[in-house]
Amino acid sequence: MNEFLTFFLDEAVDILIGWEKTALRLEEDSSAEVKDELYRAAHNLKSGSGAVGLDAFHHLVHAVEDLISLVMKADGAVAPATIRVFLDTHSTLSQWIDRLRTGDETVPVGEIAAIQEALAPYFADTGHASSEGVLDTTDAVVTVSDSPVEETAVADSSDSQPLLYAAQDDDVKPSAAAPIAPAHSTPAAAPTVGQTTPAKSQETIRVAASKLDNLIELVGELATQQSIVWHAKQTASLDSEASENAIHLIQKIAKDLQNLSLSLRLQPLQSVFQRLERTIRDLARSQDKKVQVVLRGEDVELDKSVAERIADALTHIVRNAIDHGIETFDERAQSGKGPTATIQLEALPAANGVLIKIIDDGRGLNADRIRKKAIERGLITTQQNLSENDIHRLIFQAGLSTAEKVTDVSGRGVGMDVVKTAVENIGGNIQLSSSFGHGTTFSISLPATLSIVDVLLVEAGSILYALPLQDVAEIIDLGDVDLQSLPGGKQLIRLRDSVIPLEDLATHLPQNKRAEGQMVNAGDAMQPAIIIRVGDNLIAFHVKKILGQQLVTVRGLPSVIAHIPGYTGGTILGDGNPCVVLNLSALASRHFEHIHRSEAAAGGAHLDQMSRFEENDSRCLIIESGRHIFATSLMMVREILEDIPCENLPDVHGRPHPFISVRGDLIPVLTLGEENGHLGLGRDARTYIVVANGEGALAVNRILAVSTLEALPLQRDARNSDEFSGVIGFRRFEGHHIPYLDLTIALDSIRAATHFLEGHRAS
Amino acid sequence: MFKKSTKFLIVDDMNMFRAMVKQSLTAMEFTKHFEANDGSVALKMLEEAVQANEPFEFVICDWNMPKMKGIELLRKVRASAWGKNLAFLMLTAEAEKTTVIEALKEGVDGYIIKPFTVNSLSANLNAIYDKKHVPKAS
Repeated sequence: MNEFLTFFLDEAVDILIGWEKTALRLEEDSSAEVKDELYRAAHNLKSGSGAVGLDAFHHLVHAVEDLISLVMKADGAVAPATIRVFLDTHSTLSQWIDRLRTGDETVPVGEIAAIQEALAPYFADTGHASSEGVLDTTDAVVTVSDSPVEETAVADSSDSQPLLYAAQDDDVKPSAAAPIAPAHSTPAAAPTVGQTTPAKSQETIRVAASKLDNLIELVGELATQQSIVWHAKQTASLDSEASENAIHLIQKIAKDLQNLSLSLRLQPLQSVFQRLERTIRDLARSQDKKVQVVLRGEDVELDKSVAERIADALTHIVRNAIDHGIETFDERAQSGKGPTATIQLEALPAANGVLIKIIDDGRGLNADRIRKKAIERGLITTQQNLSENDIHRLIFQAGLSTAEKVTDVSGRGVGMDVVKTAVENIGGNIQLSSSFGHGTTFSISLPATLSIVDVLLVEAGSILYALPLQDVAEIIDLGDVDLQSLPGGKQLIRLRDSVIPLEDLATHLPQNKRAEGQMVNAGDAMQPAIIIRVGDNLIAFHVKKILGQQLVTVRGLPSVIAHIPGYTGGTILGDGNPCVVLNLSALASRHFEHIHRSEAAAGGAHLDQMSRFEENDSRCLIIESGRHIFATSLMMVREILEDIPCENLPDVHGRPHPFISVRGDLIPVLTLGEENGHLGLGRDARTYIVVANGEGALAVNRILAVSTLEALPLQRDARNSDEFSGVIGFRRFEGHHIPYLDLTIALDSIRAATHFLEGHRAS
Repeated sequence: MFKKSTKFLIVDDMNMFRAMVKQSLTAMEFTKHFEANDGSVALKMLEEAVQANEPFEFVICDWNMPKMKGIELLRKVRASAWGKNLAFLMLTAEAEKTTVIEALKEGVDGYIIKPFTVNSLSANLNAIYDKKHVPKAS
């Protein structure tokens, strides 16, 4: 039977998610449906665990199922204490399942005993289940009726029914004694020996059937196109238009296949968020704080392994928030806040992954206190002039805990530095912003998937490195910027309005130690540098050469080099050579911490000449379309397609309108300026930007850059502002103010002006 | 014995139990088995199969499912024009007398308590076959 264990463990995870949700719902809604749902969750877990021989698990769930039966038989609201039992059972079972999934068969004897102790009062020693105590109020109690009529019916029919595996010799009503045995008898019953070890539980994943359908469809398309090419080859017309189209399509299908296959590993963040919500409620309750949890974007998807590896870090942040961030009732009242605090968990899809935000409206970080602590611990000096955010970021350094006293919640010697390391280990990075008295926001950006990343291949020293593109804020040519050399070999560059430090990447990497820090000379041709953002700070890493961009599969590193700072994995390049994948964010933040420290040691130097960009959380796409240059957020873009055929199809007025076909969907192509009558799909426009909602594509001449741009205040009198609808701001790009568009609004207004789509839909 | 080409429908909201039944049926060399994860889905499949003139011959059904419970499916099957004589085996963890009685009243052909073994399932199939096909010695 044990081959079904994996089946069971997978299903159990889902069932437990439902269990928790339902138990929480019971607090407000005690209708029969909710109770029934909870019952079914327990029931399925019970019968499933029984069937795969997880006896201890089975008995525990059975006992709780009996309690749910009691709850079902009684009308009315359910007592908080009873819901508590369901939630406690849930966490015990969840952890148990998690362990089983890793092959650990430890039976949580202590926790089982605790649950059974909590269950005991419900099943009074009469042996007869009592509904008393289950209910919140003193509502009427409906007792269980064993109808005598039915009893006789059993006797009759069981005679004539040889198939009846009736329950005669079983203990018919599993109400009290058996499953709710005294706690100490459990260890003996725990079948730790009898069960066969699941062969290192095979990891499985649930995939939406629609994704598989798409996959099959794509493979079908691939086969068709391939046979077209094959046929063309037979008839010796490989450069015919048909075969060229087919080759084109095959390339595209290959790309779609790649994306789709990667998306198979993606899972909604719902289960992670629910676990966090649970932690928040438990902690808040134990500290007598009232916290409302707001979840946003639970359906945003993240690679399963990323989600699993990040869960603890998120839990830690949340614990910290409640322990240190959220004030007590009195404190909140004194500072004029409502008694209920809010913690918001939010997930947003980002260009190369997912952004998770944890926002609380608690007391915020006290920069003065952190600064004092950091000085006490020798992390910084009194002379050092740090921005508020720099000071906040000190909490990510080991050995800085600002809690007044160690509490049992977060005072476990695990600090935010561990959280930061955990995030960086999987190639993510963590930012924080806090306003004293008003709350704290943690923003954690994570790669959507661990295994395949878009990287930039660069040469530094004489070695090739791969840099995940999600770390790169911008790439510049040092020939185009002001360069200043400071005494002591430090260099700075002026980029737009910021002055940022310039470092040679090679000197930050151990294998390259002998490569002396290369100074960049102002007039040198093509000196690429890669700009990385860490919090408020930017840093430029100078590299020798940029070789290009590529998708690579990242693998683990051998342990001898895995610990090297900045190394995050390895990959094999197209030519068969191995290459190290770097985590530049980690490298950059190490650099800044190092500066803080060395300045502390040196008695403070001058970092204050570093001005900073205004806070601006997303990267921009800078686009040239006709005679316009504008910027838009990468978040508003679903995909960018190049060199694909654009077909003209008639609209309702019989006029031809351009469409592109994307995976079978026809997407109308629109051009900026159409609403003003300047129609004309630029002949050269072969690049299409499909907006995030997929309802339209903008034809543009070319993409100029992807970059983080300085936000400028929206000024109505600025030139060009009336040319496009959807201008929501301005950005500074190469010294110019360019409009910053909300693409969705822009396309809607074009569409409205050309009366195009309505017509098409009506036809 | 049922013929090896008997068409089975396995109805359970738990993947694991469907897999177990399927494996048992395969072990008994039955080749045609289909699955539904709820009574409502099963009902649709049963009706469609009748319309397509390839009706199911045997239903193995769980008791407790989210949308349509096993007992409700059984009731609907027995009330239909085509399901009066369809072999229907209830498969459940409900060891309570009342549920068994209820199922019997609605005309279930057999009743197995989870967990089950290939042997117990096979014994039940055979018994149901005898009941349905061997003329009563009266």
